[in-house]
Amino acid sequence: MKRFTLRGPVAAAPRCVAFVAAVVLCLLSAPVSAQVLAVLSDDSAGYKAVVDELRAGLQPLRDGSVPVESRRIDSVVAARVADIDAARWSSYELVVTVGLAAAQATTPRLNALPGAPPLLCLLIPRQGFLKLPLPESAARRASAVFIDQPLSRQLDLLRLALPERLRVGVILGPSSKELGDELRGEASKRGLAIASAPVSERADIYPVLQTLIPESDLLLLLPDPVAINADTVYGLLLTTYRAGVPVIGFSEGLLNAGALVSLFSTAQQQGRQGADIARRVLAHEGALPAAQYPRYFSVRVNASVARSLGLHVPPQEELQTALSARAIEAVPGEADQAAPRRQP
Amino acid sequence: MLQARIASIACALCAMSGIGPAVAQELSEREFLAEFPTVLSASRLRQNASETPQPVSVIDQEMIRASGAREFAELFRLVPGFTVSYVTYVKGLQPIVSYHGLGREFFSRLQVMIDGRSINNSTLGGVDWSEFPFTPDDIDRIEVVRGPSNATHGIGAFLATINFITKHALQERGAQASISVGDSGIRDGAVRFGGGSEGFDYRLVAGHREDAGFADVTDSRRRNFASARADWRVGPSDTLMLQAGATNGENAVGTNPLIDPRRDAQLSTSYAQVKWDHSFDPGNNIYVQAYYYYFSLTDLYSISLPQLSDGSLAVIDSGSLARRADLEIQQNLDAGANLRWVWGASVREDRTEVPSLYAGARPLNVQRLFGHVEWRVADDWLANIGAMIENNSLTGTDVAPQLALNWQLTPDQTLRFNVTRALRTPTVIENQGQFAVGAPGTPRAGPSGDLLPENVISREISYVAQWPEQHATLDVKLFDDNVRNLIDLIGTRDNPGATFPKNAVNGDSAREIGIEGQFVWRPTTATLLSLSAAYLNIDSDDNLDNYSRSAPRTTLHLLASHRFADTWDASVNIHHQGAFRASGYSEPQRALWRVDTRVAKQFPFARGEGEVAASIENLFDERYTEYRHDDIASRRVWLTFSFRTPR
Repeated sequence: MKRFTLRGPVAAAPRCVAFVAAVVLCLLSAPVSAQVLAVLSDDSAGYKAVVDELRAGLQPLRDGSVPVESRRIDSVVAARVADIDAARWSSYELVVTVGLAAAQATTPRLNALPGAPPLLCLLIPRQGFLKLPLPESAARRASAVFIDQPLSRQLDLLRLALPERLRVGVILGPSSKELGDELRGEASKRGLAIASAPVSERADIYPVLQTLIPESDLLLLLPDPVAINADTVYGLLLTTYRAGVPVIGFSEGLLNAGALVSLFSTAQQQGRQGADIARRVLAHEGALPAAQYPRYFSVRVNASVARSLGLHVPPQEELQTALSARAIEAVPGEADQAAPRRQP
Repeated sequence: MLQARIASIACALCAMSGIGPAVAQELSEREFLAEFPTVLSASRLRQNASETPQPVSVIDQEMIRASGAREFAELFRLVPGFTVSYVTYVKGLQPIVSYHGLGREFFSRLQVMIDGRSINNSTLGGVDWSEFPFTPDDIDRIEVVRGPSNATHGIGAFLATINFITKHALQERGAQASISVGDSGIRDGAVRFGGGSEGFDYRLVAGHREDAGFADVTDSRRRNFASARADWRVGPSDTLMLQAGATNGENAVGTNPLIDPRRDAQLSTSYAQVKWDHSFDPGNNIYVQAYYYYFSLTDLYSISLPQLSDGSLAVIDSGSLARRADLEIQQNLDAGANLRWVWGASVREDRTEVPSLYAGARPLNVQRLFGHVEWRVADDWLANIGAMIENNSLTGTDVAPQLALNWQLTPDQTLRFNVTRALRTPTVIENQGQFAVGAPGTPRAGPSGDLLPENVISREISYVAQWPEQHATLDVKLFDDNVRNLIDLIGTRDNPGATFPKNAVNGDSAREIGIEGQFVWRPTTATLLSLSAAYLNIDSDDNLDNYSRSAPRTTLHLLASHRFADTWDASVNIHHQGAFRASGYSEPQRALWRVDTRVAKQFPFARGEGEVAASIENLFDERYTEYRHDDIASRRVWLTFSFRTPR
């Protein structure tokens, strides 16, 4: 990435030293064609962080310990996917998309190509991945690391962090409502009761909270652009706090805003898991694995909120260790959509 | 098709303005990566009971409802150490709330705030308990700091501080209406509407309160009130709270046809408040608050006096006027994991007019600077160290420091040691009142102007235990408070021989020793129990007033409430207090037991939610007397019907 950004401005610079350096860089990089194409939804920091981590994860292959030549990653923003011609697509060994929009832009292009490279989607919600228009043949060559945490892990966290609080309030918006049944099933396995309330538009959230809060010992947030967004988070955190109901979030942003605990995967963690998969694919060591939930994740506790609410939450490291030790149960429906690649 | 086109045009318009439904409705990674401004910033987070430097009793919405209280002052019977009483005096019927005695008909050395706005009347220092421009339903919670706390709660936080926290405008949406009718002329009604969009939320309340006061006493009250609160998210890190309200009405007064004829005194109040809050980051925020409070009592009447031989009438003006303007800034700052700072400053101006007591009093200007630090010395030791420096135009500069150490014995048990010094600045009347009792024209004389602030040194040890799994908390406080430089008038009831004019002097002290505690238990989500008890001994020379008997030696209060079948609420309050005689013009009040009860039933009504409630105050019709022998309590029953639109 750095080499690309350097070449333009530096070559244009009048000073010879810079020019010489640029030529050397070009010569160094010229013989190696990129083997991975990263398509980013946009070029903001979060997406770049995934690519940086992916690049770092592929770096050890250069050591010689693994018999694969050095890897170069081309990056494009999803909007420029149309500029890439069929021959160039086919020149890559792996296409990694970062973000939902990138996956949505890339999928039709790969579908149209015979012998297209395998696709690995990072930073994508499970729901978005399952809805990608992947035909049977392409589906076998597509996988993902979801940005969402499995419900089982989220509910395990509740049991570990707040074992006395068994009534779990959940707001189900248009996107999260399809998780309702699965959530209830997972909750009953753990002795938790779900109090859910549907929300179909933003303005509904306050009346819904007024009825949901008295029925809940805690509120579990499930990602949904209608229910949980910059407009609703303020009132949601304020009214639950005033009622003494702690909130469990799914992002670092929610934690900083006032959630008691958040469980999430950072962009770096997504990149790291993507690199683990990419390494195996590029080394032809194994098949493209099935779409999977994050293996790397973070648990963070908002100590000020915990103290204020008088809650004794175990240290975040302890929660994270305990959760990491648990195996993720397979989620029905995934195997069909994202079967592992059968042939190298 | 047409609809689709309209929708797409609407979306395009929204996209241009950057608002509304144009924000993606499809779940993407953006929901996971979004950054939000800090909602629960340091200033919005309250300290847990085990970390406060002093015992704080919380009266929440559930307790407010279960108490059945129609009168705001009644709520403080729930809090250990508090005494609630009533007096029919110059302004008509007035509730009196005091903590650890030393209170009289005008004031009781407490600080009372609504959303951080002091409502103590600047003429006499008391609280206009009948002038709240909203109903108990508008309160989110009441925090009662039991003990002196100038360093954290500012000017006037002398024996205790009460802070009413009203509901955020987001907390109630839709329309509500309620009406109450009952004994002793109770006729109350209120309507409320809450709404908002795009980060601007508001609530409007308007209502009427009316009752006939005590039987056979001229002390009926009528009030109209209205208030508005808006909470506006100006930007990602900035919020603005705006409030305004007013009350207007009459109190019937008059105890003697010759010198104090029956009449209506007109009372009105208004206020406006604006508070801007800015978060720099989760551990650093600042607020600036300004408010204005106006109080007026119009009470002009004429009497005939034997001294006026020509038969003309003497005109008496018992009115008063008070205006307060206050500006405050405060910063909350986390300096590392173990250190949290709060500092701030405020300026205040109190202007008063009391024609019967003085003409053209100087305004009282007060500046204060305060700061405290919460320092986690070790995992199980927390220190709260703070001080307020107050400078005022009447008594000069003084310092009120505080030091508290909280020792966490176990995760759920804390032992706390607290030493505090606090001040009470003399009121304008104490400082400049020119007391002339007798015929108009009697020469007036003011105090010599050398009054010192009252001060208290409080030493306390308290214990806080929480049983989170049982939803129970216990706090017990042992205290030894030395109150000095008590201000009173020379020549009060106990010294009838004193010659007028009277003078205010620093002439007494009192030592208060005792133990008090509160146990609150919610065994199920439908059940609430709250038990408060207090024992208090006051030792005073009683040079100027009967301070040593100014509070009941024992008080006891039990509140029990339960919700049946999800639609019935029943609660009972059992209250006991020992005999006492408040300071000032009070007569002795005997020991009493009182039982209050409330039953309510909710039901669907007109597609919304209706509730009918019956409240009975003084169920067994105990005939005890309040401040005056003719203010005799009796049973009162009222019915309330309320309705809220579908949410």
